[in-house]
Amino acid sequence: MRRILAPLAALTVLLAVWHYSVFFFSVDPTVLPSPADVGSALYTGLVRGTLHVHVLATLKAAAMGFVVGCCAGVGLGVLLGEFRVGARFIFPVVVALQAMPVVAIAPLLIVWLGIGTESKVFLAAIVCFFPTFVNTFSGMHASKSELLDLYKAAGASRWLTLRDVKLPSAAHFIFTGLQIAVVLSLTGCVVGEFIAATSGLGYVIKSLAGQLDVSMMFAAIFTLSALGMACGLLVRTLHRAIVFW
Amino acid sequence: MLRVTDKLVSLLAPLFTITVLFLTWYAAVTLFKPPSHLIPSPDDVLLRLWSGIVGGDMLPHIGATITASLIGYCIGVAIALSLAILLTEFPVLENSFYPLVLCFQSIPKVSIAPLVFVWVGFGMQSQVALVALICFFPLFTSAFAGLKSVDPNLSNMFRVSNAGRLHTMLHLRIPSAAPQLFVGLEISASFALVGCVVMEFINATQGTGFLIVNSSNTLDTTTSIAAMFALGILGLISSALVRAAGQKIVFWHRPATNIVNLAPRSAL
Repeated sequence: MRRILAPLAALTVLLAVWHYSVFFFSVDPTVLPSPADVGSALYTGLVRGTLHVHVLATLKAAAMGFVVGCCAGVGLGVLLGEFRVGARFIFPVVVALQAMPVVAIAPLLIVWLGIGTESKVFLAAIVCFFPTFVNTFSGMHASKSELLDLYKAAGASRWLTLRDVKLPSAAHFIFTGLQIAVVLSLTGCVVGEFIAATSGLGYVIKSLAGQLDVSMMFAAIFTLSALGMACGLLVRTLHRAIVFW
Repeated sequence: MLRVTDKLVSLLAPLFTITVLFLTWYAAVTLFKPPSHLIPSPDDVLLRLWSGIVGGDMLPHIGATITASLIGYCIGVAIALSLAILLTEFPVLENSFYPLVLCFQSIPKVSIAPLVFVWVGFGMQSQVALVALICFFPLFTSAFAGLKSVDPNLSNMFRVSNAGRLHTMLHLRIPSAAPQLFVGLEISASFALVGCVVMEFINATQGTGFLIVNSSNTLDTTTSIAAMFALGILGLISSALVRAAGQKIVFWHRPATNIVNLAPRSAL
């Protein structure tokens, strides 16, 4: 009970402070709109539906990128986890790439793939690849050595060991990676949309900045955060349901 | 002897991979001859990077990125550390502020970039503000967790010997949080560059991100890729510096070798 009430109370206090400070200091709404303004912007955006196209565009690109990037990440992670020699050649390179700001490739993707959905899907996939790959790879080494020895002693095939021992123990790690990736996929999409797009939440946020419509920007940012939280929750629920042990 | 060859292999293997990648790129470009505004050949890119750094036309951009991310990083780190210390020292503050911080954490920070731009305006301040904001969260969460996870035996001993609050903080809490702190610092360092580049995509007239966007727009893909290489090198150097500092300062803690830190890379 307290765990739900305390954040709610904090949120109420935050909203009140926000509302009254805007009210008392009569802040310019192009700098900081009042919560009521943001609320009405959210209403026009989500209920009347001016934001629907953009939410759908971002969600679609992020979801496709997530699926592609995570399949690649998990696939390569499992593959390298099985073949240790290959891992020594590739894993350090991937880790080094992780220290680099990968989103910097966004403008190039636009040149290569155009301003449509493809470039966002690709960027989201690249961004999702890294956490899933690193987590899968680490998870492949997390199985109990006694269990591995047992399977070896019983003459189990490589495939059987992978399916019965390694993958189950890696599952927890894989889902941790997926949970990081799902939020990053939205981020990747938004960065792509900042640069060049014709729809999507990132495009909306950026073009509203030009019109100084800050309350709608807040609404779009809140929508994006809610999307991120919802997707995170979805992955967490799947995690609990699939990795029940 | 075995350990020496082992080290040599783990050093040479990734180099080999990179060489193979470059050679494939080179071979593909010489074979298929794509237009250079789509895929330039790797030697052109490296030459462009060389002339950009030695000739100096890329240096102001790289310098702008380094300055903005460094200042933003320092500000974000200072705020995160002091807030984490405050919140762990005073439970009242923890109960009221920690949920709020978690609430803000779920906002994808780069999506705020245009808002920061509206608030702070053209110029480097915007980059600094976004970088500080982005760096704050990973460091705050890891510092908070680190400061909370003090060995209860030690903490009791400090209390028994009547150690003051400041003394306990300096000699017990911060040292025991240090390994976690450096994990946070390293993640923040790689986030700093991302934040800076995204902001430069949006508003800047200078900086590596601006150079990438601008040369992509003029279909000067060679410069664009060269600038990306420069950024990648910056990222490598910064995270290597933070890691080296961590190993020097937290000399008593040996991180598990070969397994990359699985600290939650909280959303950007």
